[in-house]
Parts: sequence; C-alpha cells; structure tokens
Amino acid sequence: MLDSMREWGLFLLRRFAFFLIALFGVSVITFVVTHKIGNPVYLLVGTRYNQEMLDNIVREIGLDRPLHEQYLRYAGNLLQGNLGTSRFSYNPVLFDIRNRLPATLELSTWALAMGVVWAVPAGVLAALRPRGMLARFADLMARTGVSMPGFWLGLLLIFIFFAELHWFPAPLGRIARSLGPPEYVTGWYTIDTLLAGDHASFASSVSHLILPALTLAITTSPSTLQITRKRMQEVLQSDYIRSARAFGLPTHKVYRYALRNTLGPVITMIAMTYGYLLSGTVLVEVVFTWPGLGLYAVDAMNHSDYEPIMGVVLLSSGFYLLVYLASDIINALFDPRVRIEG
Amino acid sequence: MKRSLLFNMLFVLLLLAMLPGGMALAQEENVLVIAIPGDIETLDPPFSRFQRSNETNLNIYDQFFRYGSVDTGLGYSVADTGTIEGAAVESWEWSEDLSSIVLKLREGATFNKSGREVTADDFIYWFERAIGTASGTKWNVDTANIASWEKTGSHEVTLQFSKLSPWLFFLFRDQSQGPMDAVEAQANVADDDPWAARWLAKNDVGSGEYYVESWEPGVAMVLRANPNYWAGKAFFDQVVLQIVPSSADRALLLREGEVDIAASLSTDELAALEGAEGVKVLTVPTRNQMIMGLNVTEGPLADKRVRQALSYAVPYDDIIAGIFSGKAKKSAGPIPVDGKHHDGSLWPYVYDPDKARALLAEAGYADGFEFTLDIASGVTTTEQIAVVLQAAYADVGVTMNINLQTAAVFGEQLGTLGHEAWMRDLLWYVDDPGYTGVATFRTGGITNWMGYSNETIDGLIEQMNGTLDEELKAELAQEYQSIINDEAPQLFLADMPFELAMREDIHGYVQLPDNLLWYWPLYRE
Repeated sequence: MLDSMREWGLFLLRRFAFFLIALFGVSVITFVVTHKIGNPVYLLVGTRYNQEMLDNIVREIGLDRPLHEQYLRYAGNLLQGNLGTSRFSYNPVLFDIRNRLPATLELSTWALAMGVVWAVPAGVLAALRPRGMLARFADLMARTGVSMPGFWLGLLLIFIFFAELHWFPAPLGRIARSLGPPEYVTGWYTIDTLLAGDHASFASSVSHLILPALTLAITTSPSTLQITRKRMQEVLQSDYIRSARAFGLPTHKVYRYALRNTLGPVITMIAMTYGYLLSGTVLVEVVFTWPGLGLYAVDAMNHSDYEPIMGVVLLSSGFYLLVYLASDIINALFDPRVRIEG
Repeated sequence: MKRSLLFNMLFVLLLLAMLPGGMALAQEENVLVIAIPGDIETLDPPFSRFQRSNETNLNIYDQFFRYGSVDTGLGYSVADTGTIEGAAVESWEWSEDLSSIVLKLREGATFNKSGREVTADDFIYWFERAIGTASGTKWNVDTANIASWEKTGSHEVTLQFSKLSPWLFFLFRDQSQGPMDAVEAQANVADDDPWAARWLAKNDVGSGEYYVESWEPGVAMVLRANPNYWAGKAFFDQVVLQIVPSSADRALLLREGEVDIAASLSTDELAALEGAEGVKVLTVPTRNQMIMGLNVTEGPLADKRVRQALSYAVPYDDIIAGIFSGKAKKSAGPIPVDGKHHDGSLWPYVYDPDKARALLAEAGYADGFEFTLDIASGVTTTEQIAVVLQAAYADVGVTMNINLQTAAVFGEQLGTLGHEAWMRDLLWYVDDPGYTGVATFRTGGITNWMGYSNETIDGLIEQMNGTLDEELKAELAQEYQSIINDEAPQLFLADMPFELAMREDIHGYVQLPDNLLWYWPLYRE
C-alpha cells in the first residue's frame, strides 16, 4: 500500500514537473515570437509623433532593454500572477481574461455536451450496425464536420436559420441587447439567468448560444464519433466478448460490458476535444460576435498588443496541459495496462 | 411539482419560439445601430490612435472648431474646409500681426456627466495635459506653432504663436481637440498616473453631442444624446455601436435591417449590397491616396529615371477599373485631385511601357532589376494592386517581389526607413499642400518614409507655410508639384473613395475629411 502511494506520489510529481517545464517553454516561445513579429511602437504613435514621444513609449513598454531582461521581468510578473496590461483595453490582462473566460467556457462546454450527446451514441450504434442507415448518416456527419471550416459552417447556419428562416436571433453576442446581461454569479448566462429566475433572459441566452455551440459541436465531434465507433467494433470482436456471448449472456449485458471497455479512449478524446475547444473557438467567436477569449485574442493581434496575446496563449496551453495531465491520471487510475512507474 | 416543471419548460419553449425577429428594441426612442468591426480603444482623445475610438471621441467631445458643410445634391453633404465654424470656441479674434488669437468660449455649455459649465480653466487644463502627456495632442499644439496659452477671462483664452499658424483651425477640429472636465479628470489622478490616463480611457468627460451611457467591452457601446447640446439635441436619442467582427455578418445584418449602418465593408460586400432592398451605399470622393513609396537612398531606386520608369509602367486605368470598379479617381501628383491647389496638368505619367523600358535602359537597367515591395497583410486592396503592379513590372523586365508583413513590422520599417518599397494609403485630412509637404516630402518629415531630401522642395514647403496668401501659395504649389512629379519618390496610384453602406431611411450624412462618421446630423426619414 505504502509502495503504491509512493509510486503515485512520484508519478504525480513527475507529471506536475513536466506540466511546469512545458508551461515555462510555452512562455519563452510565446514571448520571443511575439517580440519578433514587430515593434508595436510605431503603431502606437500613429502619424502624429516626435522622437520624444517615441522614446517615452519605448521606455514605458521596456523595449529599450535587452530581450532576456524583458523576459525576466515578464516571468517575474507572471510568478506574481501579473500577466501585464493591455495597451488596447487599458486593463490588466488577468482582469480582461477573467471577464472573457466565462463566455468561452460556456460556449465550449455546451458545444462539447452537444457533440458528446450525439457522437457517442451514434458511434456505438454505428458499430453495432455498420451497414445500417444510422452508420451511414454518422459517416456523412463525421465527414461533413471534419471537412467544413467552423467559420464557414457558422456563416452558413446564420444565413439559413437567422436570415432565411428567422428561427434564431441575429448573431450579436450572448443575449438580446434589450435584456442586458444577468447579474454576475457564474458568468454563464444560461445559469445566471436561471438563478435570477428570469425566463425571458434565459430563453434569449439559450437562443443566442445554440448556433455557435452547434457549429462547434459539428466540427469537433467527428473524432469522438470515430473513436467510439472504432473502439466499440474492436471490443465487440474481442475474445472476452465472444466468450460472454458463448456463455449465453443476454445481448444487452454484453453490450454494457463492451461499452464500459470502450469508454477509456473515448473519455480521453472528449477531454482533448474540450482542451481544443477552450482555445480553438476563435473564428466561431468572430462569426457569432461571441465576446470570449478568442475575440479578445483577435483584437490583441490586430493591434500588436503583446501582453494579451501572451496571456491567452499561456492560458490555452495551460488548459491543454491540464487536460493531458488529467487524461494521464485517469488512464493510470482505470487502465491496468498503464504503468505508473518508469 | 412535476406539473410546475413542465409548465416552466413549456414557458421557456414558448419564449424561445417567440424570439426570432422579436427582439427588436421595444422603445419609442430614435435609435441608430451601427455595426463596427472591433471595440473602441480608448475614450481619452489624446491617446486615441485607431479609427473606431477617433470616431467615438469626435462625437462625445466638442472640438474647438468645426467645418461648415455643403450639400452635394447626391444624398450627402461634404465638409467645406474653407469654412470654419465655432464649436466649443464660439468666436475668435486674431491680433493684427497674426501672432496671437483670442478664443471666446461658448458660454452656457456644460459637461455631459457632471453638468458643470465649460470654462477657460478646462481649456487651460487641456493644454497642460497635452504637453504633460506628450501625446498626439502635443503634436497638434506644436504643429500649430502655439507657444503659450493664457486664461484672459472666465470664458476666454489667448494663444501666442511662435510663428505663423496656417493650420490652427484644421488641427483643432480633430477628434482629439475638445475640452474635458478638468475637475473630474483631476479627481481621478493616481501617483503613477498624474494625468488620469487610465481613468479617462474608460470614462468620458466631454461636452459633445453624445455621452457614453454604457459600455460592454467586446459587445457594444451605447451613446446617449446630450439634451443640452448648444446646437440642439441630435435626432437619434441613442447610438448603439454594436461590435460585429465578421464583415460578412455586418453586411447580412444591414441587409436584414438589424443594424442601420455597417462600417468597414470590403469592396465586394459593398458591391453586393448595391441594389439590395432598403439599403444604400454612399460613395464619396476623398483625399485618401493609395501610394507606393520608394526608398530613394540606395540601389536602383535611388535613380530618378528608374522611379520615373516605374511610374510609366503603372496600368492606372486597370487599377481604377479592375480594383475600384471605376469608383476611384486617377491620382495626378502629390496633391490629391480634390485637394487645394491641385494641378492635374502637371502630371506627366500615363501607362507607357515602351517609355518605361527606354528610361530603364537609359539608367543602365536594360535587363531589368529586382526589388521588394512590402505591404501590411490583411489589407485586400493593397494586395490586389500589388499583384497588378507585379505583372505590369514584369512586362518591362522588372521583378517586384511582394512581401506581406505584420502591421507592426510594416509600421516599424516605415519609421526606420527599412523598406525598399512600401504601399499604403495616406488620408490628407488637412487640405493644405504645405501640410502634406511638411509631413511627407520635407527632409526628415514624419511620413517621409522614402528618405527623400531636396533643398528646393524644403524651401518651397517653408514658403508655403509662411504665407496666408492663397495666390502665392498656389504659385508655390505649382513648382512643388512639378518637382515631386519629376523626381517620383512616390507613385500615386489612385485617389480612393470612402464608401459606407446604410439603410435607405438614414439621411443627413456629412463626409468629414478624416472619414469619421459624425452622428449629430444623421436622422431617419
């Protein structure tokens, strides 16, 4: 028992160390790359400046110091939880991220839920009846989702469901302007409006959420569908399932066992999809005017605003690494084939 | 319990079904919704550098002066830069020798948020802050040759000039030149922020036509009309600046009537909107020139004959017809076609590839040469023109490489003369050849990104800026244009129009020289 706990402790320590090293690497790469994409000073002064103004801004940003010194200052601030200040919004980057993150989290989570709700059952059913109508439909959806760029699909859905059919409101953010945002509790409008007991606002936030979430669900769920289908097919052809059938176990019990053994890689894929969604909603946020992190990053890039770009990239990488960490731990916990030492 | 849950679900579903198309503002106020591509950067005018915040600040601060306007009879008016009207400054009086001016401030004007009357103290604070922040407003103060300012009455300020100030009115109608509530600003300073720049970036303290009612970053800013504005309350009680980053969405929302004006649409989207039901597209001539600048300090481009050859090899008509659908004007020199003292007869260049080849041969480049044109990525028009030029230059034996750069790299290399050649537009919002000359063609000028230097030109610019005699200035401008045309440090490719798509029932548009949208004269009919 003690040995096992020690192994687990070492395993977690090692994984956490890897997490920190990777995060450090990301911070160095992001810092160097953003500082090499150009000096923003000339954008900041426009065409009304003199040398004194130029020098002031260079000094203010710290660009008059060597790159390594600039990085050390940045890293020192990072360790104190200071991601710098946006020169576009004039806010601390952490403040902006805190404001924008709930929108991205809400969209990503609903998109993931929508994707999982259809992709996992569809994958299972397609594995059970590989030549059935459902399998063919699942194939079609998977191919469509993989081949269609999210922003294009988003525009298509807007055109059909807003402009032509008028089933959904204009793609203008998270809630109707006339209703305004609900009182902040979680930052998720679908939850905060319910907590406030405001049915009209809830309905508005749901109606604004459906199309962007659907866009993301369609474009990100094919991998979950395919892995569910493939893994389920493999499991159904495995020796122990054949044995179970031979012993005369009822079909629904056989399927239940098969499903349980399928879920490991499926859960890993879902987790990775979530990691991707949290950092990959940029274009969909642009198309649906969704005021999340993606839109914030785009604004920052348009204005060569270093700190927000670095902050968002660091946060996205952190999400990814956390997801990988969680996936490693889950696999180590539940899959006996994974060794935690070594 | 179950029934209650069922009822709630049904209620929500019913609301959902009612939502589409039903979310229009249920209010009797006149509301103007403008779809804009990105958020407003700052509400602090001296630090405003991008078009969106420039426009907002123009509408929430009352500038010192403004231009009069002329109805074109084409469904819009244009600012008349020859007519200066008072705004925050009601009237003025020059000294006989033009070395000073007394500004008489508008009495009774109040700040939107505090309700306090605008006085000379606010103007004095404005000047002090301009200098203290070393911002764009300081540049305007310096460029207007203002040496000192003094409160000479509760509503009177006197300015002294270091030398003649030909551009005072032009510069002090900028969006950045409007008094701010000094008491409010000073109440929000911090030890590390003595001019309250952080606070003023988020809080408006102006006395303009509108004030900020609410601002949800990344979503929308709502402006409300100033009921006490000296020229009368604006028609639109509320102006909603709705952020819609996707230009395809902005065009669609305009077509569907969800917004009244869609800003910053591409040429293709504007063309697609022309003729759409309920939508109109205004195409207004401007002094915005598309320019290709050549670094004249070294290499083949240092040779005047090579630059002239490149000018002769430009297929001007193809650019106007193919890229601007015939809506742009053919440029003809360093003064825009609609600019003061422009003389098109001095422009020698037409598309003549044979002449271009001959000039190249004369300069020792009969076999051609190679150079690189840098352009900022994401600007479709410059990319399209660059491709047309690349083909045209290949035809005369010149290889032009196109290098797309990030906006920051492009901007940095402009400032440090790092480009061999560059292309971008330059909007001459001050309609004076002396001003454009001092910025672009004078040795060391702020936008002299060519490294161009010519003593005669420097002298002509100095003389143009030292006189208010328009006849003399016109004469000097002739020589100035002839020399620049001949030396060709820049290639003038097109005078571009400003295009704006809006709902058909929106009227009163006034084209300002800086292409900013002025909300006050707009109305719905």
